[in-house]
Amino acid sequence: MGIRFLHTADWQIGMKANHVAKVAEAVRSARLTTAERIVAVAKDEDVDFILIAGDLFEDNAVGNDVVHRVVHILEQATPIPVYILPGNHDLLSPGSVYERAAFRQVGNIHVLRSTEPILLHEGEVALLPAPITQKNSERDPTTHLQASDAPIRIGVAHGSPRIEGMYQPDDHPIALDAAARLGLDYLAIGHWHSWLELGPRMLMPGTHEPTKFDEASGYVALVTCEGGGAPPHVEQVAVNTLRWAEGSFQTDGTPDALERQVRTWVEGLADPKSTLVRVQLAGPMSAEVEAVLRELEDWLAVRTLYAEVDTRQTTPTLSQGRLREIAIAHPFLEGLLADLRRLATLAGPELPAFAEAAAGRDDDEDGGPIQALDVDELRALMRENDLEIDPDVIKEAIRQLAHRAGEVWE
Amino acid sequence: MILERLAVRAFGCLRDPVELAFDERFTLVTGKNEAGKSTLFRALHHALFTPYSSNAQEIRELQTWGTELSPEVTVELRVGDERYQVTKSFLHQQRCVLAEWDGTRFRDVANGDRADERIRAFLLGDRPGRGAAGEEHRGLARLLWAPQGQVALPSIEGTLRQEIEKSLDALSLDEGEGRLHALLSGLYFETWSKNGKSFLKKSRLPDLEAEIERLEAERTKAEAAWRAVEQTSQRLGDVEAELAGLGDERTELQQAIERLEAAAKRVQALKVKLATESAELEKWKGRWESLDQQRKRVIALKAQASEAQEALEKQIQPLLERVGKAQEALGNELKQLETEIAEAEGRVKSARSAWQRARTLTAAKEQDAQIRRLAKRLEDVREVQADQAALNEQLAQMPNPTPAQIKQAQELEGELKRLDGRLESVGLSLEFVAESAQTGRVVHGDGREEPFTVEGAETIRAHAARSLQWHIDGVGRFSVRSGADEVATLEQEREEAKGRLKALLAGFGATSSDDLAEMRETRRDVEQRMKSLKEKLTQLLDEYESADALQSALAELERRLTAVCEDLDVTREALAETEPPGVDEAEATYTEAEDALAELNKGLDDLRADVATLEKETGELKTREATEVEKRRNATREMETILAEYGGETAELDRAMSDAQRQRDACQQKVDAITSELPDEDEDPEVEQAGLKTELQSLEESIGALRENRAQLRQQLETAAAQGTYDELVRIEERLQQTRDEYEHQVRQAKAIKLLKALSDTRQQRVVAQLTEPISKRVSRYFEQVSGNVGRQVRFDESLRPTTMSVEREEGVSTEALSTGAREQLQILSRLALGRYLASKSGRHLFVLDDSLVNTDTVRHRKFLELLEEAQEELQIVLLTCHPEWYRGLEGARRVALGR
Repeated sequence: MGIRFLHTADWQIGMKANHVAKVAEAVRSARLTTAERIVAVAKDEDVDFILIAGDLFEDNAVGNDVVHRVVHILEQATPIPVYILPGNHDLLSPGSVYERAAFRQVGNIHVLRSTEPILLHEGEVALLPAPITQKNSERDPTTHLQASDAPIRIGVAHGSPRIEGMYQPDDHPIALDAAARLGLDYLAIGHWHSWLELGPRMLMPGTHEPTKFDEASGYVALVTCEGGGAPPHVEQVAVNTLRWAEGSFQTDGTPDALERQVRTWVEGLADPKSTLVRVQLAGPMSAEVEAVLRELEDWLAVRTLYAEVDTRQTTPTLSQGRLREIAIAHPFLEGLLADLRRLATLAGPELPAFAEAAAGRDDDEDGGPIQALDVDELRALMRENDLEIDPDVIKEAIRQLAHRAGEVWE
Repeated sequence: MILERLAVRAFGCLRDPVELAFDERFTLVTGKNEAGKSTLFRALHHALFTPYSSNAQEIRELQTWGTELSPEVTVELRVGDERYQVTKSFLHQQRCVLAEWDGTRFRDVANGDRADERIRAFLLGDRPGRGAAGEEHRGLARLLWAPQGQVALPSIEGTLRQEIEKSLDALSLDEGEGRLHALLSGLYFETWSKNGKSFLKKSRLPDLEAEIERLEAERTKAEAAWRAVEQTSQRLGDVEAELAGLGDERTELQQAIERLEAAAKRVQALKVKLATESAELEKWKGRWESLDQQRKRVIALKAQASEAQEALEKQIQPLLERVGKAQEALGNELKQLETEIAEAEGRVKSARSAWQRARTLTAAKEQDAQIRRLAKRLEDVREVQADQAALNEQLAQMPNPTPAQIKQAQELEGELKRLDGRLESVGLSLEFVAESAQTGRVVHGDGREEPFTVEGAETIRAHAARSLQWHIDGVGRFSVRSGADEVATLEQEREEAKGRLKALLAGFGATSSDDLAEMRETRRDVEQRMKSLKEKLTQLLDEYESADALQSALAELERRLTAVCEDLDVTREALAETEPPGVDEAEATYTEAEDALAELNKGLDDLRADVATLEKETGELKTREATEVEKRRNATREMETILAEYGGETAELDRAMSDAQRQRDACQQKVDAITSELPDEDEDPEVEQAGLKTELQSLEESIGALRENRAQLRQQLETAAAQGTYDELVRIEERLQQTRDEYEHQVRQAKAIKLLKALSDTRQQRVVAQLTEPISKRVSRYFEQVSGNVGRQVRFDESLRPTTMSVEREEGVSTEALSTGAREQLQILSRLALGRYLASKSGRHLFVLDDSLVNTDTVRHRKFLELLEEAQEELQIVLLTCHPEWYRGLEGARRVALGR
């Protein structure tokens, strides 16, 4: 007795990738490549079946070509049967993707269309499905699972584990003790995208291919149930095609160290060309650092699949570097910087304070030409020009000013 | 810089040396027009700014007209605490020397270009190119010196501007800052429209906006398509739910129909029973009614039979007897009358035959007479006809010359006579009168021979032209000869005429035309007689066409008469002699007999009519009798037939009737019982079932329609699914996101540039204000002082040009709109104010006005002088004028008159 299978979920085939729109096609395509890899793993491991716990597709209205591609991939698993549970994205409703012709004549692919138990291994194993038929529901889908007296009972459901603060009440909530309560040997769940173990008998493997940067995904669960009340053995198998790497770097306002650090980090990545990269910066941001970043972005673009640099956590500094030097000699420029600094303080706490302000410096006290325009004047000026005191615009203005000052005085 | 002394020689119009010393505070140089005031001003300008080596046209023109002298100028001046002497000569003796006062004398410190350079630096002038120095090269003097006709402020820039800024403690933008300001401005105008409200086309933003708009529209469309799929799916779900509901409803209906079917079957059985019982009831009802009718019929028939019997016995038979007797009497009477009539008829017959014989005899006699007349007429006719035949024969033999022929013969005879006469006169003519008949021949001159025959006493003539032989048989020959030619022709003509006449006459056997005429006359007589015969014949024949017709008519009459005679049994001869009996008498006898017969016949007819009437009456009575007998027989027979079923007994019929009545009532009770068991019409399960079936049918139709709808929706979903509406939406949204990111980035940049430009502009304006505000204040005060108008505010632009003048806080008017005088005053006052600022920082400066206030009235002029007097504290004022009278009130100024 005993059974081995691959538990996966949330392939979300055809998903939208607005956040990385530039490489959306590649991201989508990778999900199919990973699907192929899962089939290969299933064959290598000679599992009894593959279980997809919902959301195989992003939507019921995905194109027919996509459906055929998926079916073609799953066919490759033959003779290993594939059991597909409709999830909240590809719910079983009239016109469901599972009503397409592509799903009508495939021997090893079985869509779990009802709660009717599927008996395997001559009745030794019962697969107890709870297909989703509504987009939203407050009902625990596992309550639909039928009872079975098979020695090994595996539940399949799709929904949100009822973890406080992490789920919506109408998002098919699943009780955390569902497996124990229902006397299941294993409860295969799908819905969230990160790997999540919920006790010894309940698992959410997450999506097989990551969808964003901060996601613990890209795995399938290789589950072995020995039966007889023994807890199942779960092995996490990485299958992802693309990597989503995030690096955090602290600047000190000088460009050199930063550039070195970032390059070293990227060069250390396993396969940068298959990696989506996010460089997270913090610390003072001088004009020189800005310049380096611009260069760095181009450098990253050709070495990685996708790169973005997040400078939201940086604080612009005007007291360092060349811009400062220029400003000392040119009170007009100094005045402009003073104005921007004052505007930044008006922008509120959203805009990380300027390094100088943080350090308690205030050049305004010097008086003279470098004195900032007063607050009312600045507000009036913004109004007259239909401008809001927008931290991003102010930061961009500083960036631009630094850049233009460089053009004029270098 | 202070000017102390200026000396010129051979300089333009000033050929002779001229030397002027200047007061440190105020010098008024007066001179008439062309006295050389402006030449002095030019000499000072070139001395300080134009390179001595310049050969520019302007320098060449400085050479005094009509000389080859080098223009020379010497200037003594003071800069700060130092005194200098500048000596410059142009053209032929190009020279420049700068000498410095060492306390005792001027000692050269520089010459040539170096000297030039140092001299220019006194007033921060710029080196001109190859030409002479222009106004723009004279540094601070551009502001401090107002040449004649050039009172307008120069463009204040470069070192001049810096000096002014310095003197005002105002900081302007340096070059880099200016570039930054310009760069920001430039960037702004690459993106923003002038009013800053919209993006320029050349920036990418409008394109991105359009792209976003397009993508949003596409997204809306794609989303609608995607939602439509969802909605269709929803609808399909609804339809399926509805179908399931309708299925349940159908099951319920079917069950109800089944229940009703059982009830309906029971009702049906009752109905069948009811029908049977009703039929039985009807049968008995019919039976009873039939019996009732039979009974009624029997009664009626009985009445009918007795009625007929009574009629026969009491009416018809007595009548028949009476009529029979009458008939017998009439029969006897009739027989007697018939005998009388037969007798009368015999009498009539004999009377009629006697009358007829009398008439026949009379007619036969008349006919005989007629026959005789006709025979006589026939005889006459035959006679006439014989005459006619004789005459016809005669006519046939008679010649019948026509009048034309007679006329022709007459003409020929005339011709012959005429020709004879001619012959007699022209030729030979031989006439022979025969005493007896002779024959012979005539031989004409041409040899032609002509035989002749003459009767006795006949004369013949022969004519010839020349010769003629006349042979008479048995007699001899006469030969006559003539010479005339014409005779031959005449002879010929005569012979021809003679021949023709002879031929004509020969036809009728005549000898002359008179014969012919006579013949004709005779013939006419015969013909006349023929005519009268014909008429006579016609008359005789009268109605008969011919004699034969007459004859046959006669024969017919004869035959008929013969027949009559035979009938009458008399011969023809006897007929003639027999006297016929009186016809009238025989007729009267006959009429009488006939009248008597008629009378008898009439009596017979009356009698026969009576007999007929009786016969008719008898017939009618017989008919009536037969009818009544028939009636009686029929009634009896029918009654017997009806009653036959009942053994011929009425009582039996009555019994059958009461039996039928019993049966009928029993049936009625049964029917009532069944009817009471049946439900009301409106509760009829069959009706209800029919209603439910209709409902079921309508339900089935709804189900059918829904199934069709479901099939359509499925089809729609399948089609939509194949299109991949979600994929399309995803792609559009990603493109939209990308475009929006790009747009937001660009907008952020554009806003940043806008912000920078706004700040930069503000700062730049602040710098300008630092400079212009004190100047504005000072010039406004000066103008107030000169014009006497209080509250005037003069504004300057960043180039330090006066732009507007306003009163109090009102909006200013452009200086261009001011009067020429006011404009002039404003320009000079601005120069004065700026000059004083300069002087306040860098010491006393030479301030020159060359006949400047030409458009200013005396009052203002005076006020202006007061200002100049005030200014002499800081400036060395030099006024060049051709109007010394304007400056009479000026005190303390050095006056230098420039004469020629």
